[in-house]
Amino acid sequence: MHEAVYWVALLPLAAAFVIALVRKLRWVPVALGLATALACIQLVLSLPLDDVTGFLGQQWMLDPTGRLLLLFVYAATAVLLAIAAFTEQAESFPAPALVSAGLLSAVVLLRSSMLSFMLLPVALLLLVLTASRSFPSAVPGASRFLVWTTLPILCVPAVFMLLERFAALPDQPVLAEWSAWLTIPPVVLWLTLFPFDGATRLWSRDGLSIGPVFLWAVKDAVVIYLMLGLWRQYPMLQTENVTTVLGIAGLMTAVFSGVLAVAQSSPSAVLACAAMSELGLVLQGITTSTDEGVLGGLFLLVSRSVAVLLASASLAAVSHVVARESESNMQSFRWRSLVLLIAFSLSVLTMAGMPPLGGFAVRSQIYATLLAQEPYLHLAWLLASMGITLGLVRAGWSLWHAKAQSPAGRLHDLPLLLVLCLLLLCLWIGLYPQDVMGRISEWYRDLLPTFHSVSSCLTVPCVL
Amino acid sequence: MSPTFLHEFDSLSSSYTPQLVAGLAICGAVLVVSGHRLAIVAFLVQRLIVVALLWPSVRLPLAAVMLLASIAAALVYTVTEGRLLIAARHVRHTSQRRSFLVQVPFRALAAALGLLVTYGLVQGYGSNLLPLAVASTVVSLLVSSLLVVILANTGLQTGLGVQTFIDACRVLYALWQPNSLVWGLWAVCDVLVALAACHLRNTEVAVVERQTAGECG
Repeated sequence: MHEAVYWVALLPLAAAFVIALVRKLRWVPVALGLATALACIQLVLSLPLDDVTGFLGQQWMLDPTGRLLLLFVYAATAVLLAIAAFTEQAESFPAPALVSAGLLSAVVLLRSSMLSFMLLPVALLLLVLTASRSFPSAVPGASRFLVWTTLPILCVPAVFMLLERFAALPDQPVLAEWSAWLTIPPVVLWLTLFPFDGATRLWSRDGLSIGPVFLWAVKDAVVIYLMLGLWRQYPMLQTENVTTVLGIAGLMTAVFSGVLAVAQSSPSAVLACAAMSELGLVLQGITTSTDEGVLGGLFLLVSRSVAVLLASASLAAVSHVVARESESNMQSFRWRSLVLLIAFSLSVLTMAGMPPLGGFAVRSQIYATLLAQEPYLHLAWLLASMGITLGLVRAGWSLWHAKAQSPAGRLHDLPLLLVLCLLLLCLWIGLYPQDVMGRISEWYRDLLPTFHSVSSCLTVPCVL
Repeated sequence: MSPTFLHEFDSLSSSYTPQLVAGLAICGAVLVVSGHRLAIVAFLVQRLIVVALLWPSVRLPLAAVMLLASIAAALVYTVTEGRLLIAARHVRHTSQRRSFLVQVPFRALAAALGLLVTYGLVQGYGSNLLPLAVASTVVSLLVSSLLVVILANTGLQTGLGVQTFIDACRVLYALWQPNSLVWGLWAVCDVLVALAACHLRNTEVAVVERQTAGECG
């Protein structure tokens, strides 16, 4: 009986096949995709927890954290499908996104870490198929993403081979140290941290492309889940050197992406910079290896995902709302545009860590755990926040003066409704961070105790 | 496959290793220098050589999976290029995007540099870590893949570069008792890279057409 439920990973693949057949009909793929995402949510809720099941010759298991992650993956995919329906990307987005979501489900459900890590690039490179011809910058961005996604394929088998050798020869810590170092390239490349973060920014430079939004909202959460799972399973991989290098990569991503936001001319590019900058802070929090730091990092990840979805929905709704307002009355106040502008600004400011939004309090928590008495870190974060805010001012101006690009049609106020729902969620996270933090610590209770024990495992000698 | 054919394949990989490695280096150079159609042929020949070289390590089922994936990828590339050619898009597209990087002399110079780097690396370091034939194969594939990716002007060339890089990883992985499931996943990855590269190629042609139509309109 349980085996049948594990078709959850395969359901999106079947739906994507059907969607590929009917892609010419604009609304059918979106409706099918939404139905699949909802069906998957129902299936995940019915899956038994911590129960190992054999299926397709492999062992599969769902832990509580994995369940929440899968629910988030399907919910975010459904929101993105709805956003795609408002834009011109309804043809290119649903099928690859559903296949990718299905493969990411398999990544989460598989018990073998090695297979999960081998399947991850397959799931990611499918997103290249979402590159849309509407945005010329999407092609070079997706080309670079294709390269960065597949390059770590060399490191993954090497990590596990060295770990196997280390298990057979525990008196040779150099093997564990080598495997720990080899985990850095996959994490840096799959999260597209600095200097590779330009790939995802480039992808959305001249308009809202839904593919990279999937990367920021869904992919990053899965990669971080896998990284934490790997550290939990093999504590010897979480050495001080590795966390330091990843922390530095996170800091550089945060600062450079934030500062580069000033130079961006389109709102979607500013959103990209803010999303990458926030990801850098998330990684800094997680690599502190303390409960407070990891919790802070995970809070920022949740807050960032919601903010990215809100900003994308706002940008997608702008052209329709402007068209509607132009049709109705030229003289009346553009309250719909104002709502969208506020929603977009709020989401970007959340990622910039502006008080009193949730990101501000949590940043202070991460800062405290980093024990950085030196002012440079605080200044660096401030610089990134200022860059994003200045970029937002520029983007807000162009958003307010946006011209109608497509007729309003029969969409009515559906995009606005989606934006309002996400806005309420974003505000709830921002205004009640302690509630959200409490829930996150409850969800991740099975991960956090290991971080106490990890501290004692950091004594693997540095032989290199 | 018939036993006679397998025997021939055995003797090919054991007796002609230096020739096969040299062929691999030449294919890498052709991949760097040539345009799309010749590059697809070079890629397929390169794959056949890699299968022949890996034959003693991986044997029939895994080698057959790799061969099938290679043929599928080459087919995807060929169909895409053929379709673009028939639609008369190909000529217009390349003539508009011709830049310094795609000039043949520059690419030939890069290929020569690649061969030199390969020779230097194998002589200097490779033979200390791995058997000479393996080191030559891996270094040759790595250098040519990096050059193809760096000089890539289209999504299709990027895909070919990525697949060449995956080949280098595969040769290294074949040395450590390969898991058939991982091997199969790599084959799937191979075909998906080809599909993604062809999608990018189609999209960039469509973007150029759209821009041209916009300028004319």
